[in-house]
Amino acid sequence: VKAMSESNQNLKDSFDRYIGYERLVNETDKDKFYEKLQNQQYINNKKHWIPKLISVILIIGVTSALYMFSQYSNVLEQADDPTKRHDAITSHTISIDEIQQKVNNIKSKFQLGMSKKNVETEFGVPTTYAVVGEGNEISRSSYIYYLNNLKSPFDEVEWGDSKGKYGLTFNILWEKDTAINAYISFLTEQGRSLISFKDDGTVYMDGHFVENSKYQIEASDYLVDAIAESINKEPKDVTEEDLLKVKNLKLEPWNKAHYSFVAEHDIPVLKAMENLETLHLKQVIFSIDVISNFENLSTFIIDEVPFLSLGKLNKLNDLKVIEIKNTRNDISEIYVTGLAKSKSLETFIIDNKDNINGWEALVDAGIEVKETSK
Amino acid sequence: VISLHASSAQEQDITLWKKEEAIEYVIDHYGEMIKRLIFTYVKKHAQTDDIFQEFLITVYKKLDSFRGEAKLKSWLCRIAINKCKDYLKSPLHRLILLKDQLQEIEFEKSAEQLSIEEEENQLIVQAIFDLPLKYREIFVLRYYQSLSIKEIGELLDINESTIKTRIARGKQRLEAKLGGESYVRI
Repeated sequence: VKAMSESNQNLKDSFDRYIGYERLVNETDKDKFYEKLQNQQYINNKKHWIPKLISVILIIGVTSALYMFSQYSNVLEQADDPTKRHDAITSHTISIDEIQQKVNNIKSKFQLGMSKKNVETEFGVPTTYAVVGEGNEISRSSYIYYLNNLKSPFDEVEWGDSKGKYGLTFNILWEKDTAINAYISFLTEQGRSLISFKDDGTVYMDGHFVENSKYQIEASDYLVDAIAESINKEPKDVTEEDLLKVKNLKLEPWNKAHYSFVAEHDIPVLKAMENLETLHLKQVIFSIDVISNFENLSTFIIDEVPFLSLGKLNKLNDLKVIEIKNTRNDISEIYVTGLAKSKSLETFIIDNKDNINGWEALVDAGIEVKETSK
Repeated sequence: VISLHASSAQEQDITLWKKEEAIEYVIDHYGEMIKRLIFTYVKKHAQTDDIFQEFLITVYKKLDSFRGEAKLKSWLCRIAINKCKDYLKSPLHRLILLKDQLQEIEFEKSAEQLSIEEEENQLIVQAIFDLPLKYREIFVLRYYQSLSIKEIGELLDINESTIKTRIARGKQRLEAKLGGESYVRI
């Protein structure tokens, strides 16, 4: 009877196959979270506001209430005046027919990195504005457009607690005075859709890549930058034909504070680099299946990548050197046993054997294993 | 700014980070693991998405209460598991379960060519997913998440002897379902 530990890795792989190799977490999860959080904060604010309002009405009386109503009506009339800041939640309305036009307008004029002043110049004063982080550094603006005809066919669409009343919301997350995250949530005939703006210049709709208008190839900024550097061209001049010229590629996300998972739309671009010989991944994670397509790959450097199972690379006939750098004993999950079947691998360099599972099998297979930390 | 190099010790100070940054860190570093864990409980991708959102909201709200006594990963797993169990007890889940029972479930056989060993492992995983929850969660935590018996005990608040008993009984069920040939693989 085999011990469980011996086949544990294979069983883990089978779990992953059962659940699916595709990443389950994507940018849509973040977008949905921020939207849900915003809805909850709005509901909480509303709960605080209602008892206060009722108290005011009881104390001041009906006359004052009527006065408040008249002020509220004035606010409605001033809804499109960008010079006036207001907090009335029904200040913007939109018809079903106008939604797509508004979406296109936002898409053409907005980009991350804009300042609050520039955004207000383009889109007017936001419907709500709130500081959401500590130290006043993180804040959120929301432009909320309520459907002006609640008898529309979309009334039945449910979204959080709003039950379809929102025709469109445009939300921007600020760090100090810079837009760092934004999305548009809006109704379509199919239900509610979400367009999100990413800090790499890309735009997604319902989790699917839509465009990167800055470049000739449809890929994320950091990938285009890496290709451009490899072939000594300006990023804006990189074309699809250039992909076959790439021999050495170092992929590194621009934001070094986070790991980066290669987006689905980048995969075809990566696969097109058929002549790749050296690949250096730094803080970038993507499917080993894609890497196993690089038939000419001879050197593979894995740098600050927390989890990988490298067994499938044993099919690569030119792969001679693999180096794994900057592993961490608390989160690294790197499995290499399957590489023992490689017919070409000569040298396996690692920073710390303790952080790698299965390197002993490579020694048994006659592959030189070097540990750089000792 | 959260560093990629955040160590376990720095993670214990996550309550001092900006909440948005902390959430981004949790999603980027633990999101995939947590979502896969959630799937093993609810076995449906749509419900996994929904519960993951509830998990994130709870983490956001409870971040201040993370005392650093447990590892961040354990704390996150505990929240996710509790969310799953709340869902499994809910009337909504029972309704979905009933609907599924009324519909014929069609499995698509993967076009991928698997080795005999991989096929056997796939059968084992399928059988684990068919186990009752109290056995399934322990097999998942032990053999998919690679937690020790002690860690599972702390996470589920169950003593270690109970876990060992459940593993033994779960294996008996797997043996009964798979037969000796496949069973010897685990």
